[in-house]
Amino acid sequence: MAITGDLIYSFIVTVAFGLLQQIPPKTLLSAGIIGVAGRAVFLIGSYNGQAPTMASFLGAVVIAVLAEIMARWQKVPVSVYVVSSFIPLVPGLTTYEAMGDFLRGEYTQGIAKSTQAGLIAIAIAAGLAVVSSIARYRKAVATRKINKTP
Amino acid sequence: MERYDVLRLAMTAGEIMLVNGGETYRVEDTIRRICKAGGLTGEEAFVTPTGIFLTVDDIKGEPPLSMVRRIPVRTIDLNKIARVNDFSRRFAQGRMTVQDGTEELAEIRREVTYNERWTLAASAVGAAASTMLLGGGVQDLALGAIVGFSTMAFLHRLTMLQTTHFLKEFVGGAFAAILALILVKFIGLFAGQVAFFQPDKIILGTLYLLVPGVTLTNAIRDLISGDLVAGVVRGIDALLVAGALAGGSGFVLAFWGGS
Repeated sequence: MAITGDLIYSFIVTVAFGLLQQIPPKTLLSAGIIGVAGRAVFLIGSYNGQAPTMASFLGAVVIAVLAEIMARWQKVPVSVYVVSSFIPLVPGLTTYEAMGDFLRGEYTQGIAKSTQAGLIAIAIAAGLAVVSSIARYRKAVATRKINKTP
Repeated sequence: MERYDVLRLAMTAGEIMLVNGGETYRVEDTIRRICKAGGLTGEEAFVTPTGIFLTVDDIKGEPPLSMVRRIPVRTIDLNKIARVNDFSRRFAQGRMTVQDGTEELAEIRREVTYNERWTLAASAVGAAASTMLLGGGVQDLALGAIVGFSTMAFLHRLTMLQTTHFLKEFVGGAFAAILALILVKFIGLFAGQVAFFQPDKIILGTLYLLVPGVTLTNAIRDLISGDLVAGVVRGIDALLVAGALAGGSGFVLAFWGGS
């Protein structure tokens, strides 16, 4: 039950954040579904004993792949989907707890938590970067072929 | 069709994209595509997050043309990016005059995708949902919505906040924290149960709406496409915005004493 609720809230958060970033109306639904997919992969990874960094990385990869596919289908820039879909993966609670620790003077705890949050953020960025560099490579190969033929 | 008309059209298209949060390579591609379709060869566009430099120098004996435009303020409107992207592709197919193109760009610049009513509704719903996503209880739902709605409405009203960078995020974080803490305290005074609510989750639910998602995504995409200057600058921008959010709410929490 908790997982169902989690996925529903991920969908709402993704759509609401997308609306705040003014993404095209026709992409709201698909962006929400991509956000849910990313969160689902994160949860599956976590339940199977993956570290939060690895689970976030996998979630980000799935988001980026689905975003590349949908962008080609709906003919809009890829970033339209990515900007809102990764919001459910953001390590907000960890960052917030780290801030609370610093305010209370518990620096060791704070540094441990902010390091974890930073690593998760880097993992998400890496997941997005890997997929989009592969997409760029494929695009470069495709244009080279076109230029060769005539 | 004059050369400078095409140049101006390309520059305007690039400017709309950059102002509304387009990636650097996409802006450069758009400018290149429009210049090519308008018959300008040998164009060089250099785009940074704060300005566009565009020069055309074809070897046919015409004097070189150049144009620089500063981008002092940036907002986020991804629908405009998609629209301009689509426009440049249609313009490149060559069935559109420069006059028509200028008019269409002016219309894209004017239009509003979601008006304030929609964005405020989205902030209320989104803040409530992210409060729940972070593990808040059903009792936090309404408070999350109220805090999210009020914070966004407050930030919309105060245009003064746009004058200084990072002030908006700092004030937003502080406002959300103050409102959440006061509301919880107030309800606690009447109901006699303060521990019932989780103010941390409520504050964080609103902060989620202010996460610099577009800046972060663009920083990554700029870096891997080789636009190092723009990528690093945007990364630092995102980091400072996140720092301002944490600083604003942390400031209030430190005064309140014990989070």
